[in-house]
Amino acid sequence: MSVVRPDEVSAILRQQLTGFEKEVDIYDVGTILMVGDGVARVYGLSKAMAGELLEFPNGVFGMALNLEEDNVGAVLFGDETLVKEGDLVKRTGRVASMPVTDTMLGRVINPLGIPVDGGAPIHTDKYLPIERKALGVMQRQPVKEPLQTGIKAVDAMIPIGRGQRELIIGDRQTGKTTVAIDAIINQKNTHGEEAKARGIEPVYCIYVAIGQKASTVALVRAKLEEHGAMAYTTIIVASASDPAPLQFIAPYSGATLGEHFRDTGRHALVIYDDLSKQAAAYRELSLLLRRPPGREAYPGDVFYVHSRFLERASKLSADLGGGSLTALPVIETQAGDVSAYIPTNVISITDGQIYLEPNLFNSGVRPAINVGISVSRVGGNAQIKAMKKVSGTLRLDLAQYRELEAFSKFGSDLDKATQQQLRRGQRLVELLKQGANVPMPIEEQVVVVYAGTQGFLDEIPIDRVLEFERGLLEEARLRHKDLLNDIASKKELTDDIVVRLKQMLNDYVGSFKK
Amino acid sequence: MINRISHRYGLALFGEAEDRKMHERIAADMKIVVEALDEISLLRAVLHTPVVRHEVLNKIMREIFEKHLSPLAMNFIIMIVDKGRGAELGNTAKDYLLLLDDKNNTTTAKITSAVTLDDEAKKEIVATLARYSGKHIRPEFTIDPTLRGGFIAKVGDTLIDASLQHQLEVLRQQFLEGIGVN
Repeated sequence: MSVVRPDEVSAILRQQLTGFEKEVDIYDVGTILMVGDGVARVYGLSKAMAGELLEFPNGVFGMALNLEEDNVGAVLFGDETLVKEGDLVKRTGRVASMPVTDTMLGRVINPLGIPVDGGAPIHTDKYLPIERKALGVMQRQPVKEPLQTGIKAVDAMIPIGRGQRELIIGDRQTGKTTVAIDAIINQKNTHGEEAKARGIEPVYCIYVAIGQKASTVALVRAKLEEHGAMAYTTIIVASASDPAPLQFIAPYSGATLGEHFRDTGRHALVIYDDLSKQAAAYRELSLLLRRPPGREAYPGDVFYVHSRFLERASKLSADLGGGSLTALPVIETQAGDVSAYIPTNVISITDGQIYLEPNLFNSGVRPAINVGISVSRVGGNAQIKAMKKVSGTLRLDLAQYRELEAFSKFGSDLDKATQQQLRRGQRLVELLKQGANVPMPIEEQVVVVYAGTQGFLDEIPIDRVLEFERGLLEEARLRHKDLLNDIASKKELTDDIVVRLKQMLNDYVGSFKK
Repeated sequence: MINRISHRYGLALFGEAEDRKMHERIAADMKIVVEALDEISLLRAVLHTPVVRHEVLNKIMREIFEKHLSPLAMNFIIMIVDKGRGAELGNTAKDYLLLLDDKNNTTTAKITSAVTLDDEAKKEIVATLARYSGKHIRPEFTIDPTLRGGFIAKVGDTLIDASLQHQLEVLRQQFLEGIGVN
């Protein structure tokens, strides 16, 4: 006998039918004049709103972008072959919006909020418009809490605060995505009981993949899964095979989901990977809508397209719950050309940038961050005191090293002071190297950077610096757990901590040399 | 569909008819023009082609239309052809009729039903649509058995869907989405 009983089925069907009332539907309609290249022109729909979601036949949705005198230009979010000339188009009466809910964490969704990971449907009543106005001045407060990326070079010299927008820029194959993924993985440290005890609030992450290969996105997901980071992360994907309109709205969807966390007093980190492709998608659809092209054939409002969602990153005022939305946009440059149109635009919108360079990457400096030209305009206020103190001389030391680097081949002909600066610089560069997907907790970073800037490494051979670092951290974790804990919870270097730190380093340097 | 050129010519004709208080006659004339253009493809082709010269075209238009139309309408056609806008004649005539509808607060409603409606039902539907849109309704009835029951009325851009077909479709969607199943 079948497990499913017939009367059970008919009961369910009856239940559905009772909810169904015979009613007259009234809706505004238009007729498709032409459709092609993912764009439709619709006659009628005289009351359509800008950005309104339109329902085409066969479950295809679109968005009204051009409201013209005699027709409406709409972009399609689905397969254009399902829509033909003369079909009816319905207004939905709502501007393009997406469902938002906490259960999206751990899921892969498309920019319209529909899961694409083969999992269960996402049920929620909360819909937010994809396009929202950024907050005004009174609703914000300055960035003051740190967002630790777990990358030594970033947390020490280019600190990022919660609510900041920090651009990650570089050529292809320089590790841009890795920096972003590391930042997500490191947020694991904000979710545990330990973080709670230290007063660190959890950060929820959203990774927006725009115009990437689906296989790359699958790889990112696998990596996050492997490090247990999917539990607090949502991936929004508009892959290279998705229509340009979906790629165009993807970052707006990311910002909308991030705002859901921000507006409920929590913290969110959104990564837009990458905006060059989004700009290209927007160029494609605006050319198809016959908007006039401008520089590099991008439409005139491409700056506004980017600033609209990057401005939504913010730190809310205490009255509004103090939540935050941090944005890490990614831009891919062509052959290091940062003066192209889109890179300069996004550089000017963001609060700083992390430059990644291929020659550093190839010479083994990974992450390949050029700390000389990377800046963070607001993150300094967010850095914890301990890190601020130990990294104070780091930037200067490295700058002096770079200036003298050209002379390094003269070796022993140089005077003592120059030799010392070169020696320090070489070891600091070595010290800032870090493997992929191994973010380091801030207290360990403080110990390592302190060792470097205070000259504990000066006598160590360069090729043993990494070994030294590994051993030092092991020693600290095993025998000086209380010291690490104190740095993490007090967040500053008290005299007592400095004494203990020096003691530990002296002991370790002594034993390492033997 | 609003076309700037035809809209402008339509306005001119409307203004002239208004001054001469000839709306009824001109409206009838324009309907003749629209029908002729709709039905005779050759006439459309002649108006669209740039090969035929204006003088010849005007002679043709006179021969076709002069005995049916008022002098004002005839002069209007000749003017439009002289200006090289013969191709816009059909749109202009339609625009004029729309402008007149606007003035009379009238609109066309396309009512499609599954079965032939009796007069009482028709009257009721028209009255309801008039109440809904706040305009006088000029109904156009058609029959479409694929609706299975009920009717669809289209007034301007608004579609009032009371057909059985639509409700079955909604039901199908609900079953697909599984709303109501816990």
